[in-house]
Order: sequence, then structure tokens, then C-alpha cells
Amino acid sequence: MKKFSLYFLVIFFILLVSVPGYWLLRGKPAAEVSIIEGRVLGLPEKSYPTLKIALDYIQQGEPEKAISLVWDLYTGGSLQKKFDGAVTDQFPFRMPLIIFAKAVDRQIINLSYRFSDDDVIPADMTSEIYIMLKHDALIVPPGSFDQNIRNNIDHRLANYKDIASRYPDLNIYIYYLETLPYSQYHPLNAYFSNADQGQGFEYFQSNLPEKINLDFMPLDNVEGHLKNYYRTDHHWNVNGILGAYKGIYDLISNDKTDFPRKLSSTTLIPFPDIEFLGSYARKTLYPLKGDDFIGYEAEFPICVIKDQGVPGDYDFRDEYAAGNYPTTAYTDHYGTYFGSQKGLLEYICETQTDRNILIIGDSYTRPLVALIASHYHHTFFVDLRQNIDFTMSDFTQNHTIDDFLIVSDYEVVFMDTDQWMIQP
Amino acid sequence: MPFSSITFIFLFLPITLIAFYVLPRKGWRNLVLVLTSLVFFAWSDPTHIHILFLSIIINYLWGRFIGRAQTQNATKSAKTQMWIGILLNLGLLGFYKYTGFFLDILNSGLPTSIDYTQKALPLGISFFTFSGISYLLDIYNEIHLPEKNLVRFSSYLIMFPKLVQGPITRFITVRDELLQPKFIPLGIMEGVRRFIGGLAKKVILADSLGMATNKVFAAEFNEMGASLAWFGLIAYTLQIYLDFSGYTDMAIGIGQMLGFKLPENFNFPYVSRSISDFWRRWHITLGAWFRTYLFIPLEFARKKAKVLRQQSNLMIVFLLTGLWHGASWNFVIWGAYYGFILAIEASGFGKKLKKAAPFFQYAYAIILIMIGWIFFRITDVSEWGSFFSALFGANGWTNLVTFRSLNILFYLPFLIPAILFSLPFLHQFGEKMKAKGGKALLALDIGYIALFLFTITFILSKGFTAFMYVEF
Repeated sequence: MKKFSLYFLVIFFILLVSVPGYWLLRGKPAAEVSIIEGRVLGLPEKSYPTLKIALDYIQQGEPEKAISLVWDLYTGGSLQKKFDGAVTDQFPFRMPLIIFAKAVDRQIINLSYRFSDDDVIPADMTSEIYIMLKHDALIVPPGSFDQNIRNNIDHRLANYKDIASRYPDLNIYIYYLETLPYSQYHPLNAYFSNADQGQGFEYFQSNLPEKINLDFMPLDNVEGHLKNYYRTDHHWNVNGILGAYKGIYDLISNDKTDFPRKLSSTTLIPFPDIEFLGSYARKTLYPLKGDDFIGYEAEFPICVIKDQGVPGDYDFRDEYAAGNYPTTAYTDHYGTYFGSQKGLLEYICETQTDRNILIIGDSYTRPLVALIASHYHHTFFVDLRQNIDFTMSDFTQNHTIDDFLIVSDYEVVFMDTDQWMIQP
Repeated sequence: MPFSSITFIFLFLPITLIAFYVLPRKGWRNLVLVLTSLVFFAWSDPTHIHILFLSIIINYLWGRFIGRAQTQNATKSAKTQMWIGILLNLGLLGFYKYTGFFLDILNSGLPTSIDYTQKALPLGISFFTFSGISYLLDIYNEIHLPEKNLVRFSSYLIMFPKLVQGPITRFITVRDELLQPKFIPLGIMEGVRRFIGGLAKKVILADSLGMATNKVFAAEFNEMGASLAWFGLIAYTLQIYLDFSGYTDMAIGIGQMLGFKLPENFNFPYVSRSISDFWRRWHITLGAWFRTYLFIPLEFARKKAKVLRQQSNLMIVFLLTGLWHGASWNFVIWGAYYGFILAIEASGFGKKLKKAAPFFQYAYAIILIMIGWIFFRITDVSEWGSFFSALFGANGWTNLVTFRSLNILFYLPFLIPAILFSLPFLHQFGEKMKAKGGKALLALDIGYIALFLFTITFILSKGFTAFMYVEF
């Protein structure tokens, strides 16, 4: 056998066995959170909570139940799938290798678009996220508007109509955030024959029952998007949040004479050592400068915040203000600073009013809740994705509500018929 | 457990190789092969492991029955046992693969309404069933004796490199290696190169083109421009070859690492000069199976038929080839399409074609092959018309806008290496470097290691998808 070929063979087998060898030599690894991917990396032994239950059955002298449980897991394929996932997650130097692969992707994309004059091109090959080269901003493609979407909107309109008729004494408000994919200013609209271009909202607006009060934060151009939304994340920044607060205040205070005055002295708090690389940057690993991360402070009334009846802070605004925050790249500062989503969050505030409000929304809404709560005695914030048993009848039986506000983008406000329908 | 999964490459494969070669007695290697093959199958398709056992038992026993009848010169009995064995194999395949299809035909043709829920197809059933049938027929035709050692027979039938997608291997091909397992370093080395090449073809090229073709074939054909339709068709033509031949390269490579020489399944089919040439180059072992066990016996059985005998036999063979690929009309029509063309070529056109300019021969073959892939890829027969219309410009020619809206423009550069890997030049270049040895070989092997590492980064970054022929 030729000498070079022998080397080749040896190197290949070293490569093959080095991976399981690495797993054996490093011992039992601790659970590791991949900040970049925003998830806990799989571990073979951590992947099988059902196996632990099976072991409990054996200890309790019920081996037949254990066997049946493991058999179901195995024949269903989830045992193997989780194992495969864990093996891939624990591959040595996985993240540097993925970063390298993404860099190769970008070179191929650049090559493919070299002969076009596009300044909005895919940021990678798998995520369907694009980069606006002129603005160094990551965006998703335009949303679509077709008969299916129209049917969805009809369902949501019927749902609102039903709620309005069942709860005639409730003041219902909707505040919609026009985002780039559902606006006429998306730079890729021309390439998508069924791009929404604002049609979905227009259809919703023109068919909404009159009793429901509606306003929205319009998007006037791409610059408006860059002003109010992060370049690297799907959320809005402090400009967007405070702009929406003003709009919402005007909407809900419009028909009330004794409504507490607007919070006038909101202060912006910059965090200069944070380079915020949000969800789009995480998904694509696109090498671009992070966003400035800016929080806000205001003269909030004293409030008690409760999650499932337990008082607490439920955000990290104070910690950030005191300088206690991570500076690791790809940290989700938005979710950490404003607080994670809860099924039901309550704000009980010392205000000059006895009005109560129920707010339904998602992570866009989360930073607004503290601002809106300062105008109410009792504020309830519900994220329907985390509160799947929520019904208006149960809720209104247990709580007194004067105002009902829905705030967010297209999905929450008028499009999704799965998670965001409000059960009467 | 696909060959392109991290679990397979870095756990299953090294464990199997170590277990295979460290055992003190060579005879145990077949046992290792059987056990690892069972683990391989049970990992991917746990609910059908009993089908595998059933197939082993049926073919082992009926092989013995046929052999015993032959030693007793009981020709009739041997024939009867051979037919029982074949019918049992076909019964197994038919029950899982064709029951729903034939009941649909029955329900639509007769006033019946038999309800049936199609069962999940056991992994690799089309391949190991055909291997089993070839084993029984070869015993009946006295090509070899029945294998008495159950472990050795099982390792032939369910050997994991070829279990799921072939190559469909005759017992005679691997009998000597099963009897005398050997350690052949040169074979292992060649196997490693073959494995890496196949892995790269599958993961980097076939999977990437697959992402593009999935989007193209899911789009509205009525609105599709010709450029997009052609891109989709060319990409699919390359994808299916690179996917299946990539798998075969990996299977043959693993076989070589284990000391077996599995038969070749492809010989650069897209440089065919006619459709009969194509079928000598594409899925060679399936073609050989149908030729050996169906076409030739049909020719003998119908030798008195004077009119269109060969043509009608070709039609029968290719209708069944189509049906082998799947229980749906598009595969039947795909098979009939090839049967028809081959019948025409057999009727004199083939001879005329050979006299034509080489360019014309290549163009003739590749265009007909690509048209065939349309029938193969688009399962809904009613959509064929709109796709053909799109191909010929019914919705306009240029459609870069749709390339962008489907986000597939960046798959265009993949066409170049995909075409290169589908033509013989790269292969010939590699062979020359191997023959040269020295620095040329060193450079080649460094290239293979780099390709292996690059392919692994692709798997980590993008995951892997199932092999296309695993569905058949």
C-alpha cells in the first residue's frame, strides 16, 4: 500500500473516532444554552425525561408500564430523533463550523446576486431572512394577501363582532402596528405577486364593527421602519414603543374626561456597551454591527406586579439600570430587559382611577404594559399563546374590566386564527 | 439512520468497523454484520423489524426447499417451491406497497367501496424482496447452492449498506466474501474515498438542489415562466442522480470498508446516447434484475410469438419497473413511457440513431430522460399539462422575479458542480491522479479529507434530508 494512502486512511479513521472519543474523554457535559440559537443544546441523557418516568415505574414494581412507555417512545421514533439531535448538538467545535458554513453560504449568495442590481439579498440560505445592504438591516420577506388570508381575517372579524355583542359595556380598542412585511414599503414587494402591501389591514379596517375603536402606528417609508424597529431583531425599539404609547393613550383617553394624564417625562436610558444582535442576527449569523440598545424610564406610579398571584419584578429594567446585564453577543436583551412573556400578568397600581383594563398581546406589547398600567388601577396582560384556556366569560366573571385593548402586529390583531382568536 | 446523519457517520460506522475487524475469528464478522444491520434497521423503522425477520425466514427456508428438491431430482417440486417462495415475497411486497392502489382501481372500476388505510411501507422492502427473489431463482437455475448457514444468509439479505436502497445484489456476487471475510487495506481506502464522494454528492449538491426543486414544484405551474420551469427540471434531473448515486457510492464504499464488493448501480447515465443506453447506465442492478428474471424468461416463453414480441416484452418489463418505484399512476405511466421508447428503439430506430451525429444522440437521450423525470416528479397527472406549457413558454420566458420570490436564485451556482459530478470527467481525473501516485495521490487524498470536513459543516449547518429512493 502506498505510504500517502496509508496516511489518508489513518487520518480518516482518526477523524471518525475522534468525535466519540471526545465525548468519552470530556465526561458528562453540563446542559449548555446556545445563546446564538436561543435554546438549550440537547444531551442524550437529558433528552429522555420519559426514560426517568420509566425508571420510576420499575422502582415502583410496575415494569410492564415502563416497557410500554419506552416502547411507545421508540416505535414513535422520538427516542431516535432526540438522540440524533443531541449527537449533532454535542459535535465538537459545532458552532465555529456552523459559522464557517454560513460564511460559505454568503459567498455563494453574493456570487449569485453579483450580476443583479439588488440591494436586498438573502442573508443566508436557510432562514428566509434578507439583508438590506444599504442599511445593514435584516428583514423578513413580504407577507402575503390572498383569499385564504381574507378568510382568516373574516374569522377574526366575526370573533371581534361576537365579543363586542356579548360584552356591550366593554370599551374595546385595537391598536395595530404596521410592520414592513405588511406595508407597501417593503423593498421586495415587487417580486411577490401576492405581497400584502397593507391590503390585509385595509380589509380588516373597512370591515371592523363600528363599536370597536381602532387606531394604528403607520409606516410611511423604509426610514420609518429603521427608526422604529431594530435592524437585527423582529421587535421594535424604544422609539417605536414610546410612539405607540402616545397613540394608544390618545385612543383610549379619547372618550374619557377623567382619564389620568399622559406620562410626560419618559427618559431614554442608553446602554453604550451593549451591541444588540437580535433574533434575525442570531438566525442568520450575519456579520453586522449590532443595534444600540436603549431602555426607558418614567415617573411610574407605585405598582405591584403579579404572575399567577405571586408579586415580583418580572423584568430586568432595574438590574440593567444598575449596570447588571450580560454583554455576551446574541444575548436577547429585548426579552430580558422588558421581561419574558407570561400567561397572565397583573399590575395593581396606586393611581387616581378605579378603571381596569385587559390587554391582549405578545412580546411587542410587553414593553407597553407598564406604560399603560400607569393609567389604570388594575391592568391584566394576557398572552394567549401561554394562556390557552383563556375565555372572556371566565375572565369577566372573576375580574371587573372597563377597557379591553388588543395591541400588536398583523398576526395578533387580525390574521392568526389559531392562537389569537379570543374565546368568548 | 441515514448515511448522512452524524449518528451514522461518527457512531454507527466506527463502532461497526471496530467490531468487525477486532474480532478474533473471521467467522464472527457475519454475525457482527447481521447484528449491526438489525440495529440499523430497527433504529429507522422499529415497527417493521418483524418483516425483515419474516423475509429472512421465507427466503432461507424456501432456498433450502428448492435445493433439497433439486438434489432429489424432483424438478416439479423444485419449481413448485420456487413459485411458492416467489409468491410469498411478492405477497409481502404487494400487501404493504400495492394493496391500496389496487383497491382504488377495483373501487373505481366496480361497484365496490372497500375501505382501506394504506399501511406504512417497511424500509427497503422493494430492495430486500428483490434480493430474496433473485436468491431463490438463482438456486432454482442452479447458479449456486442454497446457503445452509443462517447467519451467513442473513448477512447477505439484510447487509446494512445495501439494505435500504440497494444496490440489488445477487448472492453469488458476495458469496465468496461471506465465506472468507478478508481485510483488504486498498479496498478500505478506496471505500473511504467512495464514501466521502457519495456523502458530498448527497449533502452538498443533491440536498441543496432539492431545496430549490421543492420550491419550484410546489409553485403554481400556470404562472411559471419557462426559465424557472427549466431550472426546476434541470435541477431535479441532477438532484435525483446525485441523491441516488451518492447513496450508492456510500453503500459501495461502506461495503468496501467491510471487505465486500457490491455491484455498481450507475455509470454516468446522463451521457447516454439512447434510452436503451440510459437503462444500461441508470439503476443498473434493477435493470439487470428485470432483464435476468423477467425479460429473458419472457423472451424464451414467448419465442413463438412473431409480431412485436420484443417490443411487448419491453412494455411489460417497464410497466413493472414503473410500478416497482411506487403504487401510483405517475410511476406506471413513467414506466410505460420508457417501455414505449425502448420498443421504438428496438424496432430499428436504435440502429438509425447510432448513425446520427453524437451531439444529436446525446441531445435525444437527455431530453427524453428529462421529460421522463416530469412524470416521475409530479405525482398529480393532471398537472403535467400546465408544467409542459410552462416549459414551452406559455407564461413567458424570463422570470427572474419568481426566482427571487421563491428565494432560489442562490442555488444557481450549485448547477455547475452538480453537472461536473454527473459527467465522467471528474471521475476520470481522480482515476488519473490515483494512477500517477506520489504527490498527485497525496493532493487527491488531502482533497478528500477537506471535502469530508466541509460536508460535515454542511450537515451541522443545514441538517440532512432523507434519501429520495428510500420511499420506493
